[in-house]
Amino acid sequence: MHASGFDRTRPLLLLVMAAAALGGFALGHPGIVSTQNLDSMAVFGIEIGMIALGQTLVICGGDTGIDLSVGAIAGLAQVILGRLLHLDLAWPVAIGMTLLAGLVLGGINAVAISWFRIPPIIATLATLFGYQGLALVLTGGINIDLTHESPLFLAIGQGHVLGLPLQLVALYLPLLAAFAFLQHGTRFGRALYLAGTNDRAADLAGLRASRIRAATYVLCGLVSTIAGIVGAARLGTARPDAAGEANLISIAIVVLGGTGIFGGTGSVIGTALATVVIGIVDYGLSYNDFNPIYQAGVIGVILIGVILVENPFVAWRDSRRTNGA
Amino acid sequence: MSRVELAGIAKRFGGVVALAGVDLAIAPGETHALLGENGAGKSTLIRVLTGAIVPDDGEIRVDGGVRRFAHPKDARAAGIAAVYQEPMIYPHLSVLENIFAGNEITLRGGMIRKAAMAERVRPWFARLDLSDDLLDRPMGRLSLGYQQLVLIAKALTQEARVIIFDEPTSILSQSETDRLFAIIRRLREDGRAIVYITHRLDEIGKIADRVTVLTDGRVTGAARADELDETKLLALMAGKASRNYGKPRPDRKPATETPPAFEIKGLCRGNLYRDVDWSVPAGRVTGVYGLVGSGRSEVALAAFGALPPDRGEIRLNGARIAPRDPAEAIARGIGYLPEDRKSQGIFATKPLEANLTASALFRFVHAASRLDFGGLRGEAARLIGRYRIKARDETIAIGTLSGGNQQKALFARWAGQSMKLLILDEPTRGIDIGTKDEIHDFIRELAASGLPVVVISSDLPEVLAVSDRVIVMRRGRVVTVAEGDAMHAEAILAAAVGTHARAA
Repeated sequence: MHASGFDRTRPLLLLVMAAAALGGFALGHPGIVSTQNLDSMAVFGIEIGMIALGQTLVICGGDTGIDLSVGAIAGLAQVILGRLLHLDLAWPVAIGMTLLAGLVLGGINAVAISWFRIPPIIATLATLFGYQGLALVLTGGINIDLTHESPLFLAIGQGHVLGLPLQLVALYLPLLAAFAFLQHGTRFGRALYLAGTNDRAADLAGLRASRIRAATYVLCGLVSTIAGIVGAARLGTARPDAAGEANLISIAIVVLGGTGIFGGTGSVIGTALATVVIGIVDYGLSYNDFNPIYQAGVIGVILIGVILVENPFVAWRDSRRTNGA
Repeated sequence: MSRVELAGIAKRFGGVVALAGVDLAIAPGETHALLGENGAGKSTLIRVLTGAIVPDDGEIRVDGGVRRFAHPKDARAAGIAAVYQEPMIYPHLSVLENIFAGNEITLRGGMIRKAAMAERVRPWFARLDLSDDLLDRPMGRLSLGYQQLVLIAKALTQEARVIIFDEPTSILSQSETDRLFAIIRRLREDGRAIVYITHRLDEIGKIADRVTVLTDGRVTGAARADELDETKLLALMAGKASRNYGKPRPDRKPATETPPAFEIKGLCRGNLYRDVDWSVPAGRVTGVYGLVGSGRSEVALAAFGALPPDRGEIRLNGARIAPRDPAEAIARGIGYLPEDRKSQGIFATKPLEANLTASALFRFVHAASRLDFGGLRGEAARLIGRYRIKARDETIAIGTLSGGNQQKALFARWAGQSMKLLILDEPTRGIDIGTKDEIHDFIRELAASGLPVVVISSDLPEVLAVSDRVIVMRRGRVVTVAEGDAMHAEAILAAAVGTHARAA
């Protein structure tokens, strides 16, 4: 058993699901398994995937940890970036300032939760509305056009490296590697698991549980901001409501990926696999001309389905283990 | 004939014997006081009597007939009710709703008949001199004393003929206590049987007809209250301490005037503790004895930075310290083994290795803050061997180990590091005697290596067994410090419970 408490059943199940989903859609529409389509799937999944990485750390930290404001942060970050670019700042400068703003937005969540002891669901619900509102105020509700910005900036969301989406190779995969290392390879990650398992015991072991959790909200704000920037570059526009659905879908992905909602277990690796599943399903449904209004429902069905399939299997395996011991 | 009779009641929790064959007869019209230290088995006995747990062995007879309580409602039906130390209430519901919670008088279909319920309660409220106006008030608005009276009314409403009071006065003021005693006498005159659990010896003379002393899950003394004075009571209660496992260690150090390595002066915090002085020399075990609520753990938590004091000084090796959190205290070399293993100590679902090394992670970090996993495993294996923790290997989840091995692991978490001070709060609570002895040996070894060690315990034989000196606390104050020959059970117990009889 590892300190992560991560069960190998879930990643396997997710891989099977991803393959089955892709296979299923291919039966309906063989054309879906084309380079172009897989590329589009990746592009669609990357932004929510980044956000889900941050959400994983937040939920793993326990003490009812959750960040409902991730989508609002992504939207507000996009808007801030758009305004800065329209001030004729060089795009790297604008991005740097936007990233700083993202740290502040995540930091506000962290302070509210760790310092003022506001329950995470309330604190981030409040900032969700606050950040959404601020984004509307900054734009007056009108999208900011970025299609005339530097091609180098737009490449962040539209470019390719070795035939793969640039944001996948240059941003998502490095972020995934960094988060996996942080979670599984460092003292911070170990302390995060312990704090998520038993908050009081972690404090009394000198692990400063609430500071660790505070850091997860800041990191979550940062990756949400990066996701917002990528989205702006991809579509060449900054919209205040750009990532509204990310608030809840990121939580669904984290849970689907095997992270326990009560904290102390799970892995960003599982989250990444769950992102693939959701990405395929989402894109596959659109591709097969399913009415988009059903898509959210399908995610719910998958979420419940995984647990219904997994529970009897885990129970059967554990009973065998106990009898064997 | 006895109203309730227990014969040979036994109960084990895992490897720990909570009750080892208890006989107890409670007569109608009598107040029966049950005395015993924490962990003596009193609460388990109450839980058996109220049907909350089923004993492994033994018989419960009510009015001569053998009964089996599989569920609390069986005990309730037999007329047994308990009034607990901390009233268990629904604060937002009314007094009437609290009295009938789960037991409402209803019409067919579930409509609640409030008037009928009020009708049922009224005579009992009158008997307890409670005003009917209280019935509609939210329970949470009442003082603790009144809440307790409401719970007594609840017991009476359920036609309870045996009422168990679990340390009822610990939360009451003097006038509330007097009122409660008057009510208990009245209930006794009605022919009800009363079981009265207490720590306070001075209450025995006022309220009890009979006294039974429980130690280590056995009845170790029984007498009529009018045959006892405080000295005899103390002797009864301390009986266990003179037994074998409590005998002083041959290596107990004589009284010394060595300068303290760890020192607390004039420490205060709200109403938890006041003007506390501790002086803890190096190379010795300093015991801190006191009943629950004496403030001993809170003082330790202050030194550990977990519950900062309002005023006062803490010094470690001469330097004044004021740790703001446990991490800072640990960095200064203070280790604290918390009293509640489950909620404050272990990470139940995590591997033994992560549990053993939780407070030492900073020693196992490579460049780029990468954890040295090999080093962690090696350290865990070393501690498992050194402290003889019985576990398949270091990867097993600590929650699957026995309580004794969990406790050893928590002990090893601190003992295995080089600290400057160790504070062990209830280091052997709820574990088997064998492991207890082992941990006591480890504690002596730590002190022998030159470390100042503080052992906080409400287990008097344990304090006597491991300590070179004992600080006794009562109600947030240090009442005495005993060393050398002055360290014996009666004197320490007398100081802790606050009687005037100071056994010589």
